[in-house]
Amino acid sequence: VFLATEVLLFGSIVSAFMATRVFYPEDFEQAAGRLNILIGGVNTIVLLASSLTMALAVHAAQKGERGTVLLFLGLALLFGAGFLGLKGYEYYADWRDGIVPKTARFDPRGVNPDRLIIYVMFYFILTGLHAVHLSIGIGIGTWLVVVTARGELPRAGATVTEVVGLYWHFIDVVWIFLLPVLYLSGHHVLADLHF
Amino acid sequence: MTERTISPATSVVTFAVLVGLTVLTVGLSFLRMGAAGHLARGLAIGTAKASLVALVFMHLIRSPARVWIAAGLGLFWLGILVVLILTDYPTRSRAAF
Repeated sequence: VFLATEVLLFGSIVSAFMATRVFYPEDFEQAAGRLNILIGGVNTIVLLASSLTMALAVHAAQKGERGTVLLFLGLALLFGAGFLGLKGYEYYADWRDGIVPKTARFDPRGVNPDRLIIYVMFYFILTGLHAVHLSIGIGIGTWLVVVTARGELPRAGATVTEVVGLYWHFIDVVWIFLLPVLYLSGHHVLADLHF
Repeated sequence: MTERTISPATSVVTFAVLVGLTVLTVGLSFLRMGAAGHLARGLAIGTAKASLVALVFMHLIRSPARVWIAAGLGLFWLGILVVLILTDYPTRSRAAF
């Protein structure tokens, strides 16, 4: 039920984005083409790796292998933190290149700058909300590592680890949809491929 | 609980497929196919990836029917939200800019 409410939270903002995109398809395509697809793509793989290690942690928890649970949980948290680090760098690069709300001063190529600002606002709200969720996931994951290490949970924390895993994978699924909606909905050129 | 177990090998293979799909979808964004084409292609591959994560990593494939119903209801409500918003907005007057 909690995840269903989360689906509606992200779903409603993405729907608003899509509805606005119906009005201004060319402007939004231009703006999407300016996002850093290299960092976005690498970060997708980092987040997928965190989901894999989280799934392996859940599997180990079900078998009662506490040491393996801790190893894979730690890796999942590390990948999650890596995603946030890269995302933070991407925000810096966006700011450097002028892809920020209020200004959106990157080369408009003949499109309405006001509409680019709308796009950039959506980009920061959606990716920011996602980053907040991932931060919460890292917080809960860290708590899980501590209580698992102390052996405070029954059955090596199988049930709790599974629930945390479901939340973690949900964050991954949100990003899987943010990538095409925000980054891939525009045409990218190889010359823009940089960190 | 054991009936829900997905083997580590299956998880690793799924991860490899997910990475492959990510590289594919990012690679295709460099081709010229128009805004709608980019979005449709990206969402199609995204849906495939999300399904893999839900089925394998979230072990939906090994879950009982009631879990499928709960997940399906989530999609159903999301569907209502998206469809109604996207049919409503284009019928309204455009903003001032």
